[in-house]
Amino acid sequence: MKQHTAMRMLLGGFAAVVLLAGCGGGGDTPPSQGPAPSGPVSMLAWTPPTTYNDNAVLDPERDLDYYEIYVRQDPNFTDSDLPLIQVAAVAAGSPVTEFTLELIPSLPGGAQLYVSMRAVGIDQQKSAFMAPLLWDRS
Amino acid sequence: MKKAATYLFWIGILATLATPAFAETRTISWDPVTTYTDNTPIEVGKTVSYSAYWTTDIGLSLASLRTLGTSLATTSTTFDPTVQGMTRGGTVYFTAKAVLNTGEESALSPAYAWVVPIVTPPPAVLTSVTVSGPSSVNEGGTGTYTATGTWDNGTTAAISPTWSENSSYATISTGGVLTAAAVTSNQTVTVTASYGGRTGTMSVTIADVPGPPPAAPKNIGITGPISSGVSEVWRIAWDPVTTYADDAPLEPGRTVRYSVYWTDDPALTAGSLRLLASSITAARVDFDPLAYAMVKNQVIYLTAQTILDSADPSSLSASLEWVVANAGPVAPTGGAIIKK
Repeated sequence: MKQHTAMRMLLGGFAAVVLLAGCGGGGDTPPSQGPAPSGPVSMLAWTPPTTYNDNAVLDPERDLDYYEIYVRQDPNFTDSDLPLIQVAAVAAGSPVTEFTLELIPSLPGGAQLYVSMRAVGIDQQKSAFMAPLLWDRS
Repeated sequence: MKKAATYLFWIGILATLATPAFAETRTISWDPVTTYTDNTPIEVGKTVSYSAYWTTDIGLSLASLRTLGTSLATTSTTFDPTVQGMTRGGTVYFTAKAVLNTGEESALSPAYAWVVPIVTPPPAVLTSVTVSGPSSVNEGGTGTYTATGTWDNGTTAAISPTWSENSSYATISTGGVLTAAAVTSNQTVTVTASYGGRTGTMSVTIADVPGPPPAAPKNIGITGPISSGVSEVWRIAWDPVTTYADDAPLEPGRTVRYSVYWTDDPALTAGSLRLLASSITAARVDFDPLAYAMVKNQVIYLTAQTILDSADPSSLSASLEWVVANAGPVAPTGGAIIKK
């Protein structure tokens, strides 16, 4: 599984989108992501979609632009939620399939959080939310 | 030879029968003759018949007698004074004679005077009302209706009835002028004339007159997606239609609706059109391409049509070519959080 190599961060969860793009290979500490978190990290891993909603074939390397990662204190993600970070869908020519959650700025407080994500196509159409995951930070 | 009975004893004018046509029937009767003038009984086996007459001559001159009946086996007969030519208010005299089957006859009975009553025909009864007028009135037009009454004495006359009409497609004035409203298809209404407890009706067609078609929608555009998520909703909008096809403005009160179609046929052939929205009032429609089985990257053509008052459609608008961008990716799967 290829670790993420590029991300777009929504600083403070709002307007400014900063591409902290970089590239690199695998490893526990993602390169070019800013300061590496100290201590153990939580990696969000996923399987990229390979179809559109109409069942047409989707090539993750060609047809996906980025992912949006959402974090809440409950699992009730809605369309009105704002993503906390955007992660490029492709890095170094390969699909990105994981991301270090500790790199997300302005995480909500709490020992237990819920994480979800959406895939965004190059036509800017978004997928539904991935099934929420419980992130135990304790 | 004995003389047959000389006298008849009048009972009188017994009854008046009125028929629907106002025929007046009177009955005159008399006592039966059973004896000769010498009071001896008429023999068994001889039969008596009667002849009855009337006249205005109190002297009962033979030339003046008019026959009411002859060879009458009964002791009464009926007559209609009018038919007999009796003068109303005048005095007439009745007489009769008995005739035996042997040919023997009595003398004429004494005159029985009777003043022919002056009668007033009973008031005629209205039996029917007939409505006349055009059987069809164009929408927006008028038609004038009249009513004729028919009475039981056979007379007819124009009447001034109370007019009514049973639908929302027309109104009718007190003078019988029907005003047809705008209709979207031919409608049948019933015009009713009420008079004297009788009604007459007439079915009238309110005819739909095809008017000039409204203008087709213009400046169709598509924007979106206006909402994101699994369903991408796009918006088709156009300029509201305010004129007929000939650019004449629509009258106030006209209802403008739109139907929106899509097709993959650039010629917009009728059979290829698929409905996106039907008879909507807003000059826009939001749609989810997925819900209409549009395939991503499919080239489709959007067109709209104006419908005036739910009936008169415009031609199809110029089409808008659009490449379907309907299906976002499915959600990522296999999510996991791995502590490292």
